[in-house]
Amino acid sequence: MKQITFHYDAMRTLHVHVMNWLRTQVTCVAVDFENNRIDGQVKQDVCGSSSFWAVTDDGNVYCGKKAWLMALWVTYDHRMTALRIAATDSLDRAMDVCYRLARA
Amino acid sequence: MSPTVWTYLMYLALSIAITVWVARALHRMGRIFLVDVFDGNESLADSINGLLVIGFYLINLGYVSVALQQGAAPQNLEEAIRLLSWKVGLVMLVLGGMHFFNLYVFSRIRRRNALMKSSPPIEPDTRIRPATAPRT
Repeated sequence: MKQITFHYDAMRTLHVHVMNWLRTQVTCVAVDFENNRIDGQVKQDVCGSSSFWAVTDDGNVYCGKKAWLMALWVTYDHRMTALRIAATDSLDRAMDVCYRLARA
Repeated sequence: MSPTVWTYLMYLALSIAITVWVARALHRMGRIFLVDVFDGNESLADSINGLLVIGFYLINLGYVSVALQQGAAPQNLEEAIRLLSWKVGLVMLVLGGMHFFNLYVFSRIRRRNALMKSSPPIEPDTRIRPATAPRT
């Protein structure tokens, strides 16, 4: 994987907050961002009800909490945290960790 | 020759000999480790290896030189041997400490490299046909 695109909802503060934080991070792969909300509607064609997902250049799609985990995994400083979260099977924590880091 | 001069000369000879022996051994045996740390880049590994040996010589010979005057002047052979043992022991401890510090730093770099090359820790939810050609 050389590139990943995070699709987020620009009307959700949490998404915007974390994406802004991610823009400031040194990342291990190229990162792009795409707003899912077009004409007031969230595109939901890829991940069903989830408004946050990530697509890699090789076509892998990560939805919801997996996408949050990928947001950590792409960063140079927090990749270890992502691996730890994945290893302990606590994916639900990924979004909280992203938000906490973005607020710090 | 007084016991003090005899002790100093023995101290210098032993310390320099140990430093040179350790530096050569580290240079020879550390190369393969450095090549692995620097991802197979042999010229970079050789360059770092050479720079490390220079730093190693400077620090250790500097320490040996500074530590030469430490300790009371020995009055007899017994005191001279005790002083010599203490001084050479300190040099060996410094060498050992530096060696393990180097190993620690390089093992961290090696672990970091492995981490950077790791695959995503989770399986994707689904796959789509890539919309654009992968970036090179």
